[in-house]
Amino acid sequence: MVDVMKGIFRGFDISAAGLRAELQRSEIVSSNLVNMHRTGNSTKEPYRRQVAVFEEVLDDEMRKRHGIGGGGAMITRVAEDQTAFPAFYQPGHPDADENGMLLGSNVELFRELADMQVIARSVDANLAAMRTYRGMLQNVVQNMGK
Amino acid sequence: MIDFDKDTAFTTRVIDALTARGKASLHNIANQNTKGFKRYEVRFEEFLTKADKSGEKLGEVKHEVVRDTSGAEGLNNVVLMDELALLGKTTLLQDVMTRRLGGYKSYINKAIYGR
Repeated sequence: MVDVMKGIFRGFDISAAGLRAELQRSEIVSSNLVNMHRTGNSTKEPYRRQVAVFEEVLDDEMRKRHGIGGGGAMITRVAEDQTAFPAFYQPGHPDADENGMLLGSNVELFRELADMQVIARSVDANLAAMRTYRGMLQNVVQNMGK
Repeated sequence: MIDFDKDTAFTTRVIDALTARGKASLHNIANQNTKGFKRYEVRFEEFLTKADKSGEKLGEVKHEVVRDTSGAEGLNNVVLMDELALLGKTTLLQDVMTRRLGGYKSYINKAIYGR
């Protein structure tokens, strides 16, 4: 009995896993935005942009029960963006070297803002899917309970 | 006369397939930003048509969950709007089928209790 209920409510877990992953990604984007002004030079590395790597979660129990191995998505690791750091000429800066050159972080403000929009839309989509699934469960209760 | 056993078996199979399809949609939406993810697809209607043509029992048709490998290698093939549309369609169909299953119960109740 308990297992049956668990099987029904698993649908919410799938969306919840997706939401969790999106929220974690938004934290990483926020951290990129906060740290984007951390400068460096040839001896001290500036802030390197962090990238969330998504992977799908495969759930064995679900595969057995429903033939779906799906269990949502999760962030398996946080990778570092290997693109080059931009150099600036700012002689007065404490991090500047003897030629007045300074390395900036490889975070690009507008790319991060665009990512943030994508995350917001993905969260909306997961929530909409969750609402629809709730509707499906409500159908079962209302139509079959009488 | 309606064959209840046969008919409920069929309806249950349809609801099973629709539930699986709903969950597949949830999984696809959760993975819309996963690199290289290929969407899940639930095949059922084609098996029904095949069983109907060959005269097999409709109540014994089982759905199948497969990967939709369309699209370029290593590219995600989830289209959010399609997925939401499919989920909406699945919900509507599931509404109809659960009503159908609930209907049998009220028929039987009527036969037994007269109400």
